[in-house]
Order: sequence, then structure tokens, then C-alpha cells
Amino acid sequence: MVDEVIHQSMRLKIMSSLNVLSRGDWLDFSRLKAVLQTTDGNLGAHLDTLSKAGYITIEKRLDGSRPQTRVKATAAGRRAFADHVAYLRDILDSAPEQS
Amino acid sequence: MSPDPSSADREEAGDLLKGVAGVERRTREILVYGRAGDYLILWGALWALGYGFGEHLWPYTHAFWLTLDAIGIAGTSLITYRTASCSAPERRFVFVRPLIGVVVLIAFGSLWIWLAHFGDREQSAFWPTLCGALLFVFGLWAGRALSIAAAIVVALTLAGYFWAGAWFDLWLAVTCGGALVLGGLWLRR
Repeated sequence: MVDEVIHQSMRLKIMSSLNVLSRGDWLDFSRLKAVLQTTDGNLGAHLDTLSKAGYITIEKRLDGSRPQTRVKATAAGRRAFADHVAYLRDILDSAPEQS
Repeated sequence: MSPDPSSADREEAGDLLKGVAGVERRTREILVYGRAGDYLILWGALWALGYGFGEHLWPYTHAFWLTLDAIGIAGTSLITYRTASCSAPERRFVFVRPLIGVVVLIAFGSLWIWLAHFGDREQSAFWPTLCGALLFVFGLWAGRALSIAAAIVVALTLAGYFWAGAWFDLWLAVTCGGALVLGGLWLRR
């Protein structure tokens, strides 16, 4: 079964980025936005979807006096990402259809 | 997607995996740049101080540079400790490798300056070109912005060596120290 939450291109990219970090490490919203080269609104909407699925944790806090939003992948998110990448590789590796 | 994937499915899967690989590479680069930026700012400021004031402090020039090196080593360790991503017990020892790296680099450079009887001008040029060469090679794997910054530092050093005349140390303070600080700020943005 395809995981429709993570199959969407931008959400898959978000999970790819968070999966690079060590377990428990956070990534700033601004850095994630720079990696993905997208807008605040688009990124925020996809982060909400991933958060509702339990794949990421979003934390809003004060870094000194500056408000900061940061995100990290949950264990379930890392598993879902690994499973989906394996699924995509299976498709790619499968033999072409006979015509 | 069907269990028997069509060529369209394979094309989509290929595109998605390509996207994943690209994002992973960019994320690693951004993480390295963030940390490297702090190191460049620290050592750029120390170079600016060393080359800017070192020769005016004779006969304490050597002691001045040793003090700056000690500050650099302590700062490098602190940055590494603060930005380490491992758990608390491992974090206590995370600065050891960068610390050994800087000490080995300084010992290696000092040994060759002594063995090859470098003059003052050659000594001044040696350190930025040595560090630049190492940073350039590191950048080939970690991110090309580091290689570009290193190439600029080496080019400025050699330009000053041949054409800056008596202003060579001041040239290094402003251009190399300044280039590292500006490069570090740019990487951190």
C-alpha cells in the first residue's frame, strides 16, 4: 500500500531532509525552507499534515528573544520514510512490462 | 500505483528518488556550512588580529600568535561541543578530534617552517595557503562553497606575497582575515 501522506513530493522531501539528522536532532524552519526552496505557507501546510500523521514533531519556542520553529522526525516518521523509499526502489527495479 | 508498475510509475519513482537524493545532499551541505561558518568567523578574526598587530608587538610576536592559537583551539573545541548532535555522555569527548586536528596542523606547519628555514614573509604566506589547501580538499566532499572560500584565501595570499610589498601582513589581516569572516557570515545566513 502506498503511504499517501509521505508519497506527496514536498512531504517526501521534508522527510528526506529530517532523516539526514541524527535521531532526536531538530532542524530550524528557516533552514528547512532554504533546503527545499519553497514558501513559508507551503512548507507550513505540509508540516501540519506530517505532524497530524505522527511523522514529525513541531516545536515553537523562543531562541533568546527570537521566536523559532523547529521540527524533527519521529521514530514512526523515519520508519515510514524508509519503507516508502524501499517501495519506490522496488518499483524502479521491477522488470519493464511486456508489450 | 498498481502492483505491476507501468513505465509512468517507474518514471515517477525515479523522479521522487532523485528528489530525495538532492534534498539529502543539500541538507548535509547546510548543516556543514552552519558549523563551518562559525569556525571561519573565529579563525578569520584571529588571523586579522595576528597579522594586523603581530609584527608591531616585537619581541612578543611569537607569544602573541601562540596566545591566538590557544584561543582558536579553545574556541574550536567550544563550537564543536555546542553544535554536536550526539547524546550527553558522548558529547563530553566530541571536541577531542578537532582539537587533535588543530594541534597536528600547527605542529606540522611549525616543523616545516623550522626545517625549511622559512623567512618571515614565507611564514606569513605559508599558514593561509596550508589551511586553504586543506579547506579546499575538505570542500570537495562537504560543499563547494568551502572550496571557493579556500581558493579565494589562497589567491589573495599569493597576490599579496608577490605584490603587497611591505604591507603584506596588513594585506593578509584585511583580505584573508576579512574573507574568512565574510565567508563565515555568508555560510551561516
